[in-house]
Amino acid sequence: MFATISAWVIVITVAVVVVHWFACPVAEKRDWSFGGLVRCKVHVLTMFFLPQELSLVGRLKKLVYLVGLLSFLILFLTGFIPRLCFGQAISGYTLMLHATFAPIFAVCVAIAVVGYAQQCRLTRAEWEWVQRLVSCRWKGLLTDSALGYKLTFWAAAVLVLPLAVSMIISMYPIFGTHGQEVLLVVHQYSALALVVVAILHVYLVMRLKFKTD
Amino acid sequence: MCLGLIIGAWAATPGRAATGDQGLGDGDDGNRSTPVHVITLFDDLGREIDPAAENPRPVSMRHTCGQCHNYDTIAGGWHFNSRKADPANPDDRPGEPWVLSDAGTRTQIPVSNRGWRGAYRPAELRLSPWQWVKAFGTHYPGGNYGEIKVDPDDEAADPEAIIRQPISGLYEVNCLVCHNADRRQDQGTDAGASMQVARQNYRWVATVGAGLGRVSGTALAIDEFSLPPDPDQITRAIVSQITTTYDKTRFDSVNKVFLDIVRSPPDARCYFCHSTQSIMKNTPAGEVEATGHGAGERTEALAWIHDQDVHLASGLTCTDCHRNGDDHMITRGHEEQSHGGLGHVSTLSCRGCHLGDETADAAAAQKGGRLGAPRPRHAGIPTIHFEELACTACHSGPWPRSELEQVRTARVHKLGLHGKHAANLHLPHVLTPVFARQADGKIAPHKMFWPAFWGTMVGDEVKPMLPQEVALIAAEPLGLNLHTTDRINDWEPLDEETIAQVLGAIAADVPLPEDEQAAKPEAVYIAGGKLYRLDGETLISQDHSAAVPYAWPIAHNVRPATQSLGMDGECADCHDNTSPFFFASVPLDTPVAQKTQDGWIQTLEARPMVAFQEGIRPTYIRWFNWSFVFRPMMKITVLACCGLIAAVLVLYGLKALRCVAAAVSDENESC
Repeated sequence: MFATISAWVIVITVAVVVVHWFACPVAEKRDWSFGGLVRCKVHVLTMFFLPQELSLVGRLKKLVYLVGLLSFLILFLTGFIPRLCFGQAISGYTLMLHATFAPIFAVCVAIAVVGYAQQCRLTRAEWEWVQRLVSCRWKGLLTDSALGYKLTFWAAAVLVLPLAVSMIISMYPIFGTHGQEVLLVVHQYSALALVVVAILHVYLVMRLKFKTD
Repeated sequence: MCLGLIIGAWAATPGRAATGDQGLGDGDDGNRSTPVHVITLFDDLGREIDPAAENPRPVSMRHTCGQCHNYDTIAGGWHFNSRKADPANPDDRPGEPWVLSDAGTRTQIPVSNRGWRGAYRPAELRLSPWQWVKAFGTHYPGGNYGEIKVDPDDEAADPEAIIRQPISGLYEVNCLVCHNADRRQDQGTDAGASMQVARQNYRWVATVGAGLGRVSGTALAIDEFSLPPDPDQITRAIVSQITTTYDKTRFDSVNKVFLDIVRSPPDARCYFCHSTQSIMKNTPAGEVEATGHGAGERTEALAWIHDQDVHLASGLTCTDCHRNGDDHMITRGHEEQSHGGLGHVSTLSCRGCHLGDETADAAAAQKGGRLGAPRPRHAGIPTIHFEELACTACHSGPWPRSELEQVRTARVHKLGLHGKHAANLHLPHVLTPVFARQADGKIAPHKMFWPAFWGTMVGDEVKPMLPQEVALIAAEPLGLNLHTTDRINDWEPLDEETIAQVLGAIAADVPLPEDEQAAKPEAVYIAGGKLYRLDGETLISQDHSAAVPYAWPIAHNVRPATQSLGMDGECADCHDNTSPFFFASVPLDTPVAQKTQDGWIQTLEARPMVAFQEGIRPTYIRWFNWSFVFRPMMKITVLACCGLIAAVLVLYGLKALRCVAAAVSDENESC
């Protein structure tokens, strides 16, 4: 059941991103030439570098962000692939890898939340976006706002809590068998929600970077 | 007179009529009290027993109990039906086998006709029913192989059985072994049933066991050539030579006897055949501890340091869970057997009783809690454990130690025999608890021993030889004295040179196959997980499927919940690189050793427990256990991170709320 839901949700999320990418292009005119595509890829690659112009704190923040992304990717692969591809619960070396990167991810998320909270706080600009939405002034609504990546940032921060706490608390002799099963379900669906939020967040951040660069 | 006959017939007819195959006393009339058994005893000719008669014959269970109960139905029950086991449909949950052991020839062969993996069928060992009863009859409730009447005209019949069975009689199902609650029921002493078995007085076992009378004479000692040739005359002659003297105080004025028969046998009756004893040794410090492999001196009278099964301690009896109907097919209590869709059966396993059976038809059976069984919380135990482990893994058997315990069991080691025929057998060396994966894919504690026997091999198929056959062929190299009756209780070390000599002797004795094209059987010795054979003059050893250990899962004794593995979140009970669960040393028990200046040394290295847990690699489990070292740190780190994230969320959540409040109030205060 969970595997089916996960597969569909992930596919739909990726589809939404792809559709949005083409439906709401970052640049007014796309460069489809070979050189343009290479430049685009290089640009994406440079987003994973630590720019010289950043301060030490800025570089550390970005480093933490990138490490967090990497560990999240590993957690996603180790957590979802056995279920989606083999229909099996996570076990063996995969489980060990999962459990090894989980605390790294938690630390990175904690630092990132502290580091980027101020940057991702909701401001009057976002309030105005809401007002535009309510008053049906929708032109450019899906392309002009930072609300998306900010919301996904906070949503991710919120989802990490049930995700992490459900597993940690299951390691204490507090919950019985039924409780353990509930905690596992909470962990699984929090993880799925986080995957969706993370995909959207990374997409929106990259969009923003494309735009500003 | 006619009226008298009618009244007499009416009075003699029990209130319930027999129906179909059901005897008058079978089934359930709804009254839960125990029917009093003041009954007439019958002998094997179906005649009422008169204790004052000259040379009365012994009691026959078939004719006495069979008056009201369907003897043949009962004789098809679990305790009596192994000879009828279908080889094509083996029971996939192995049980305790019979073990043909002989210290002199260094032999321990698991025997069972139930098709359990690793056990040999009596027919494969050329063990006739007669030989079978001789070997295992002391801890045996009769029937089965004991009731196979030998046909003198059968060319394949055991000649010894043809001659001796008319003397000894049939070994009928002895109902009283289990159902006689009288404390005088005696299975183990010189004056009890087992001594009659030892004397081959099979016909007299029930009489003596229940204390109904005394028997003098020994079938074993009667010279068959002194008997008349006619079988009927033989029996008459035997009854006059082996005399039965009934205890007349047990008979009332009409020659009826009160037998304290109960439906549910008392636990002590079960214990006679189903006891386990931990072999203990004295340490240099004067303390007593369970032995590891190798068994030190066994000390007696240490039963007091052991607790009994927690279920019995809380007031249950063996038969509360191990139940049966008229067919005497006793529930074995394991999940695969019980989950047959019948609610009342499905809840007689650990899981069914404590947790309920979701597949059961009855709503109550789905809920569990039968007989007040508490529902376990299993707090902090990840659910993967319930997929990988049997209930018994954490709850049953002795607490695992780095060295396995060596134990003896009632049937295998003939415990409970007192007096002259008391045995102190140490073979086979049964080790426990071995946490091995069983047929249902779950890891469970087992009792285990390594087969050891001489045999022949054709192709890849090994056929064991009976110890007495080996003793006749190779008495000299094995150092056996065939003319002594002294019992050897444990095996002595065996060096490779001796093995080679014995193999040579066996090879010389093995008859050539009738088909000249067929390969000549090769002499082999199995021990300690290895197969030994001669390659020319050289002795070589190799792994072989015939050498794998025989293991059977154990369920008892169940320890209290507080003494379960993993209780209170103690992951390290198992998930530690020194934990016995994964890394206890499982010795390759073998008599094969090398003689050195320092004494005998065994060269085979013990295996870690995890080697018996198919699907788990030792390297992986070491890494996995090692990760538990960091687990407390990980918990603290992640919880601290979660706390930090929560604090930021609360802080900015409140800030956002302030902004919303400001925006709603149209104030120009910036956020």
